[in-house]
Amino acid sequence: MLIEREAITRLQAVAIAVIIAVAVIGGIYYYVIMGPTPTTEEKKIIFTYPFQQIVSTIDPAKATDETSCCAVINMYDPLFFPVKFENGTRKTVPWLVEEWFVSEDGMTYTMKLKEGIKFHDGTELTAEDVAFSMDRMLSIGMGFSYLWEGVLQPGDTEVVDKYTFKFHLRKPYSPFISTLIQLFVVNKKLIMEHLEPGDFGEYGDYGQKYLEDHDAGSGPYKLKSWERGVEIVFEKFDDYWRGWKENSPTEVHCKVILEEATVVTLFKKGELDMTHMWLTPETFEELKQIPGVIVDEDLALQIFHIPMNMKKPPTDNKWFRYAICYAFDYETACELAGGAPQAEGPVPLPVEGHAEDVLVFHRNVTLAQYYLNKSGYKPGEVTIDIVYITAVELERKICLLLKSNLEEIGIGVNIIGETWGRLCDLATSPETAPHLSCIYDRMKTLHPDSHTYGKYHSSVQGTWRSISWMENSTIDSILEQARATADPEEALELYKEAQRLITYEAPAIFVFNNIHRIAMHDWVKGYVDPGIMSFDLYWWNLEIIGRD
Amino acid sequence: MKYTEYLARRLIMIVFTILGLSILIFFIARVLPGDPARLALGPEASEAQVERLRELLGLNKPLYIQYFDYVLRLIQGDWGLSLLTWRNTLYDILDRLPASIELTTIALGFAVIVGVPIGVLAGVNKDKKTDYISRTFALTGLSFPRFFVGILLQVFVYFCVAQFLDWPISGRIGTKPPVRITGFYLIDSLITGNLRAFVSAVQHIVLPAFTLSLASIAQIARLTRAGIIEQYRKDYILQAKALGIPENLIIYKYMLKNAFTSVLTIIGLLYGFLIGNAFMVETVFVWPGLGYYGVRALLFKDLNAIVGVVITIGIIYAFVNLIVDLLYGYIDPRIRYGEEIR
Repeated sequence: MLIEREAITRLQAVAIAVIIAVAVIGGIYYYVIMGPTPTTEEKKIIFTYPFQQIVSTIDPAKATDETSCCAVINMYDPLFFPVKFENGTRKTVPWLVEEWFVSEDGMTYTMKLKEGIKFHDGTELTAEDVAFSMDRMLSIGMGFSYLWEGVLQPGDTEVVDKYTFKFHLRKPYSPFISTLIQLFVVNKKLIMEHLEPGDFGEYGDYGQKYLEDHDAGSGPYKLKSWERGVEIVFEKFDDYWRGWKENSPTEVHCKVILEEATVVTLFKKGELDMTHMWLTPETFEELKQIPGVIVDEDLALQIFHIPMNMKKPPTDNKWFRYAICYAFDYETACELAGGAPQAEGPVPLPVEGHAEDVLVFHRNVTLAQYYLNKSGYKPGEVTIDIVYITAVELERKICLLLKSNLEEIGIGVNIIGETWGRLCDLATSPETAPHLSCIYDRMKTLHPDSHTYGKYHSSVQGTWRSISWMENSTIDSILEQARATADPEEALELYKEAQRLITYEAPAIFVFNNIHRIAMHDWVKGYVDPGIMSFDLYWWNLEIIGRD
Repeated sequence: MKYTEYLARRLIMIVFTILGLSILIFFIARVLPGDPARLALGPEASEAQVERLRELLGLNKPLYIQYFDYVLRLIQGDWGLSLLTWRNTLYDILDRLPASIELTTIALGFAVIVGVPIGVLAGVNKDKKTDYISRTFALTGLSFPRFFVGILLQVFVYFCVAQFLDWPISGRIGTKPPVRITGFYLIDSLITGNLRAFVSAVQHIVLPAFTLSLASIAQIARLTRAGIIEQYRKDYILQAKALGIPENLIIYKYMLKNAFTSVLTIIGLLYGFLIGNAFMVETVFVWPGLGYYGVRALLFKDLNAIVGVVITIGIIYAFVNLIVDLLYGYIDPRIRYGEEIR
């Protein structure tokens, strides 16, 4: 029998040595010979930003989440734009529109476009594109199309001439102008050239397949590349109608980074120019201590509140709700939220149309006991449920705070953690909706209608936004009147009246007005937050000055 | 039984297994809480819009009709509309699958390269110091949560290594990805001769693969140890020693080969497990794999994505275990199917 005395043959040993040598030489070659990134890339001004979730779509007719909306806002232009002025006020201003006026009955809006605005393929943006974009939005029926539900139908947008068009509304709708910040104009010619078979007759699929991977916009940036789940890269559109500043980013790299610790580490390393807003208050405090880092803080157009189910005992009892509102420790809750101011009613503080004279509760245990007694419930007699979203630690802490406050006056509390999907399910009926829930609610337009009619009119019940299940004919009537009023100032007064009546019914514990925070290196200039989701990520505003 | 006959039977069984899996996950996905249409359109969407989307998704039809429609489309390559990305789920999965396979393969390869020698050392030196140290090292890897190890590594690289060497702590590549041929960056960059991309891809995969491999190292080491100990007692080993065959040759050429069948089994199981369960590592290292995609689909009740991911992982499990079974025949001639023992 031949016995092998070697573990490996000479040939095998030589092969292993060659592989190791190639690896070492390859590494040396890479670092020494090939050197750093080729110089052509150094002339670009690259801005790098983290996305906390994947970009689901870049189609302006479908985007609703923050990252998708960020992509859309930078590749397309809306008719109007939310702007924050130096004095802190926020207004909706004309953007693609040069001038506009509304008929006396509030049913027809006539608008004239700015001339000479180009799409990324060089085609001029005209009234045809606007009409097409609105019809497309309404026909597909996703994204922000709900803003015009019952107000406009496909075909209601009339093209008068090359730059003039009219919206013929089905009913007066005072928030209409504010909603047009979510109408992004697409290139009709480009889409018509790339139609696929679909459900929309001569319009096929309305270009949905094409816009999965391409853009058809006129915005400051074009889509350069998109590796789904990893990174989306935008490049500057040189012929953008607003022009460019000297140090504007020429490329924006948005990397999907899901873990907070990773975002912070990369930011400290300088690989990210900015963080996103979803870091914890404690992390922002830590970042503030780092030289060269600026943490921008401002009131957000978002409130945190705890809606109470007004159709389920015992929270169907107004005095019981008053007892809860007076028992809650608002000060501690605001501290937990990093020093956010207490909310005053359903509409965020900085919004034009926010009513300053609404009923605002403050902790008063004596009054809480008084109202509990007035409600007819005795201490120790009832236990209520409060639901929070398990992924949000702050909500859990606030639930614990509320539990201790309510137990002080003899109301028992069960704290239940649920997923977002489950809460949406529970909200669909008054029987399954919990007594209390923890809700963050952010404005989608700069108009109080979103947080009044959109939450408290009896026609909108059945979603998490209206989980209070309020049914009040007086409030309904005022909100309907407010929507139908053509005069904007008059309409705002009616919305303020509605807010006063809503807070008087105590449908929720209005806890705090959230603070919008974002951290950036000091070489990032020009950042501004108008308050509407993703509009602060309008990269055209930024300049990079002083970065090595 | 002939070899080809065995292969054919296994392939048919795989089809039925996947079919059964698809029925199970299809119905489970539809009883999960949450209205998928409402979740997809957002809370402000009107009831009419939600109803339209339900109609488009076929959610108003009886469940068994929905299933048959789904299977018919599946065979034609339409894996259903994803409610998160609004496109064919198959494209989403194909985008992410190479990343998961690449990460899992490297991680498992690393686990074998490290775990097997640890197991051999422990087995050969049973109850001695080397055995205790090896087992402690392996079990430590098993005990630490993967996301914790991942974050620790990132912090270590940032604070310690970064001063000497620019090493990436997230992502899949730091330069323009290579031209897509297979979807595996390591392979595509070599095929296209893109050395920069290859080196960058290697740098980026090291940390997540190491993190993912830790628990597997422990399992492989333990099984190897047990196998080595069992083989060590056998008569042929005593004979080999008596014949003067070097110790290393006995261990690595004879004992390890015979002890490897159980390790092979665990490798097969680990492969499918890691592809679907690497979402923590993918989250920390921003690795665009199937794990995180699957979790997100679950949380947002993206029905078609849930079913698609489970079917994909099921197919991988089935084929990997088929390969493992075929490799048994290679390792141990006694169980080579369809051949007579000569």
